[in-house]
Amino acid sequence: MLFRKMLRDLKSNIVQFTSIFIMIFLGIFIFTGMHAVGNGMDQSSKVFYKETNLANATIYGLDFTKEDVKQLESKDGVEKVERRFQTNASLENDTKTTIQLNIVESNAISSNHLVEGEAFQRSKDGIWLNSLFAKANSIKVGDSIKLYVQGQIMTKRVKGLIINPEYVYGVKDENEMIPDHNNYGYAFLSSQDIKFEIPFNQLIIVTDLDKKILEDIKLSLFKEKQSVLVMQEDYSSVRMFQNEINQMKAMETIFPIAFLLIAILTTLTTMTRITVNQRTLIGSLKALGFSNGKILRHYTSYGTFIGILGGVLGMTTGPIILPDIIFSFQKGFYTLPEWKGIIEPTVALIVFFCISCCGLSGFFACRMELQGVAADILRPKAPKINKHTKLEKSRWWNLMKFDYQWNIRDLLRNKLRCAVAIIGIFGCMSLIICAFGLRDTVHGITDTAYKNINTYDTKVGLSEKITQEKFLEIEKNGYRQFIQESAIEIDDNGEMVSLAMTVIGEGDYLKYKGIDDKSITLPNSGVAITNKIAKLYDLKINDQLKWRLYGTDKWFTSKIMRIIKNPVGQGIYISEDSYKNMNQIMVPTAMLTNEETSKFTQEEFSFVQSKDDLINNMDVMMETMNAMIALLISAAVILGVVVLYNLGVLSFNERIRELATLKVLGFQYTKLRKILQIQNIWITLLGTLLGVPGGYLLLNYMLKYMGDSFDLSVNISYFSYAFSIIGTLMLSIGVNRLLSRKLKKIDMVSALKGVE
Amino acid sequence: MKSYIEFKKVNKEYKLGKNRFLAVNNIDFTIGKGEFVVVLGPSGAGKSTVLNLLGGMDTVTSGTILVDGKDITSCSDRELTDYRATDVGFIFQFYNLIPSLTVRENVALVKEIVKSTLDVESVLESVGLNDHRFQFPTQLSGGEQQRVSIARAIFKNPKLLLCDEPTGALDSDTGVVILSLLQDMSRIEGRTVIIVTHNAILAEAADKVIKLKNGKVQEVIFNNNPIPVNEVNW
Ligand SMILES: Nc1ncnc2c1ncn2[C@@H]1O[C@H](COP(=O)(O)OP(=O)(O)OP(=O)(O)O)[C@@H](O)[C@H]1O
Ligand SMILES: [Mg+2]
Repeated sequence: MLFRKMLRDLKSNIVQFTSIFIMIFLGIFIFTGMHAVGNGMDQSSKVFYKETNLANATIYGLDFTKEDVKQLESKDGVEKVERRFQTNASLENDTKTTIQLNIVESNAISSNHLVEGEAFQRSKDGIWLNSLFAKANSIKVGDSIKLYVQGQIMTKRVKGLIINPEYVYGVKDENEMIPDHNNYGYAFLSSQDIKFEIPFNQLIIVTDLDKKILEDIKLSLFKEKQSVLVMQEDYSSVRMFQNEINQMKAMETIFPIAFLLIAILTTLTTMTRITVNQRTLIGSLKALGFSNGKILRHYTSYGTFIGILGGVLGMTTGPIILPDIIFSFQKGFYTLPEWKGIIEPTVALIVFFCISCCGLSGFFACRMELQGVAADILRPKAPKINKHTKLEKSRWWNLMKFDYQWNIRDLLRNKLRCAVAIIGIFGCMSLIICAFGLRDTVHGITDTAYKNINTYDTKVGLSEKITQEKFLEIEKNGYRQFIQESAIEIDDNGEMVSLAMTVIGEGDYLKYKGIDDKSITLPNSGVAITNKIAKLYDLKINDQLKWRLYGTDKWFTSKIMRIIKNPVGQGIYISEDSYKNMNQIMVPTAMLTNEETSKFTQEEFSFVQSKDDLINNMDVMMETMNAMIALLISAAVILGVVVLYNLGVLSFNERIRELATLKVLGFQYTKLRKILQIQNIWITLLGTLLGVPGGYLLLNYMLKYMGDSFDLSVNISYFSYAFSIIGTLMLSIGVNRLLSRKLKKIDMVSALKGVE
Repeated sequence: MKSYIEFKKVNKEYKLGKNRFLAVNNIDFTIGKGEFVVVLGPSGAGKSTVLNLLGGMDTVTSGTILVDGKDITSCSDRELTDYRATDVGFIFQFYNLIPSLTVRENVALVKEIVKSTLDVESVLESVGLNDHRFQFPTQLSGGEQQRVSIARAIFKNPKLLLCDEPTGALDSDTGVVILSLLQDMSRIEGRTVIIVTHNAILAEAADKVIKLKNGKVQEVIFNNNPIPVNEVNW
């Protein structure tokens, strides 16, 4: 019987309960959906890593022998070791492409996941090509491809299309943020299929030893060899993907909070109103002999019922729909054999908690009314004593127009409702600002990184085998700037951290700026570091930086002279002069030029990278990102509309008698609409104003999780601010228009008939 | 006397599901300018309905209502609102004040819609509320609240005052004070005042008594020698 009553009450407060439902639904939808995304990525990558037996560590060096493998394998804790030779190649008919060739002996470690064709076998000849690169270049299983490798042409038949766990995030270099499957790929060959002596340059290891122990083993075994140890968690692919997972997990909580908070607060305001209105009814029920517990349970059931409805619907749809949308975006960056949203059972607990909160708000609202005996409750509640606030006592209160007086008092007397509305608009505005800001920021990266800092058009990789004469010839052949890109280790209070170092030769293709946005030239002594590195390792200008080239023993101590702002390419920058002053000779690894990529077809170049391709890639990514932005904005609009409309209806119903009175007195429709609008405009303005910093902080929070290789600072254009503010205000006015249609329907006669 | 208000064959029909119900059934009557009129009748007779029609709060099903020569049944929504704002002052049984505005503000808010209002202070003075100006309605007694509502009604300086059971929620002593205040509005200030009431004794004080029953005019009584309200034998 009480259940019937509840359903009828829900129906008569349909707007409130619908909005509670929508908020809970959206909150749970986003929460469980994002959880499924983050957790799914986490689990899927772990499964992938496990299935393919991803190496736990790699040692880079030169000419590893069978003996080396045996010795390393004999160590306690080292399970398995394999040799690998990695080198760059390119398609013969398209030298802009770079294919990282992996010549392996057995492919038992970091093995390939087969997408199409035959699985890798050491006894088979042929090539196993990355499936995405193959697709982008229309290469099929069975096709023959011609490759430039180490200055020679090699013809191979494609045996299978594969993906490899070391290339979940596969980019050519630090400047490339988005994998370009057109131009960069990887392939595997069996060592038995190679005619020449293979200078194996990697040992991949399966082990559960930690870095320290492995480092010691490495030192003891390969003392005379230059070698570098990199642990799995430091593989750029693994690290980037882990960052992405962390980012998703961070969003899992931050976004739904606004919705769930609104849902709970709306339940509280609605239930308070219902129980106050049903005060005498509660008294009658009590007089009839219903126990307090039963009555409490009844009012708790409202929020619980709606909560379960929204929660269950959100929980069943979120983990299905949201991963689809997010993954389509992620797929542009990362390659996994399978993308699946997975939820943990613990999520149900949190959902249960949210539903409980909604139920409990009814409980507390009712308990306030229940205090006292039946007879007391049956008497109508003594009206709130109206006190004059300070503002009302001030001189100019009486100069104020009636609509202001009325609305100010209404707000002051309904602080909770007002707070909910402000929070709602705040959330709406924050989300919109965040969405637009995300767009601006990413746009900004393209501009800063590819237009302001890197002003060259083409970057060409110089292979190690390049001859002195050839080099001189290149140097003569027009305007070029040479750089050396090397890996270094820095000593961060005793801990070794690997970083990228760039030695910059003469030229002006690279235009760096400081944190204050002023141009910076690299000094003749000492080094420059990027702002992100400075923040990560707590370094300041004039600090001493201890570093060494990867795989060498010679430590340098350099003074930090400059701090550079660079969205991509974090690391250490040294001018050629300064490098010379350290008694080092620059060995160029790449050169920058404005000439077209097609000029560099010779086999001497290890890769050719066109900046336009990088920019195009960013643009493609922006398009997928627009879907996410649209999602954010729709969520924001729903939040704003629902909150404003719901509270508008609430306040409308509370004031319906007064509005009817005004109508009888002869207030025109437009005038009444204006009166109703004022309050919404105030709330919207305040919420919007708070939302500006809110959105800024939200975006800042999101960008923080973008990973260590990006230094993204919030960049929101004035246009975005203006657009968000105007949009939110329009929303508010639109909702008000919708509400004021109710004004026309007020029946003066019945509204004034008597006290309810 | 030239008639100020004229009801001509006025019908008001309510639809209740499939049934129709004539709350006002073919009513004709006239009221002169400055008259103090009492409308009597049993519950459900249609008194409030007639008053609401006259006040432009409700629309007729058929017939015409002329007020000062203007046919209010053919007015648009906007015109009706203007008519309510400038010509009519309402006083209700349940006062219908705005609880979040003070006494003074409740009266002064009329300024938003009517240009030529009286002076707030003197109107409050005339209903004897000067000392309560800054109180809120909930802090006043019923009689005081009704006086606020009268003040609000006359503040517009309307020619027509419509009162639906203005003393219904008051004790008889307070009721007399309110009623004589309303009688003065007609006697002294020359406004047309129409009062709906259950109290037949008030008939002695009226210029004209209209008796309604079952939606029809049962009888119109002219009273040539109305006596002041406070001299009526309650
Ligand atoms: N909105 C409505 N829908 C249907 N019938 C209505 C409506 N309003 C009034 N009535 C009916 O019209 C008739 C006249 O109502 P009205 O309110 O005018 O009576 P009254 O004379 O003012 O009675 P009372 O003295 O009790 O106030 C009543 O029988 C009532 O049931
Ligand atoms: Mg009535």
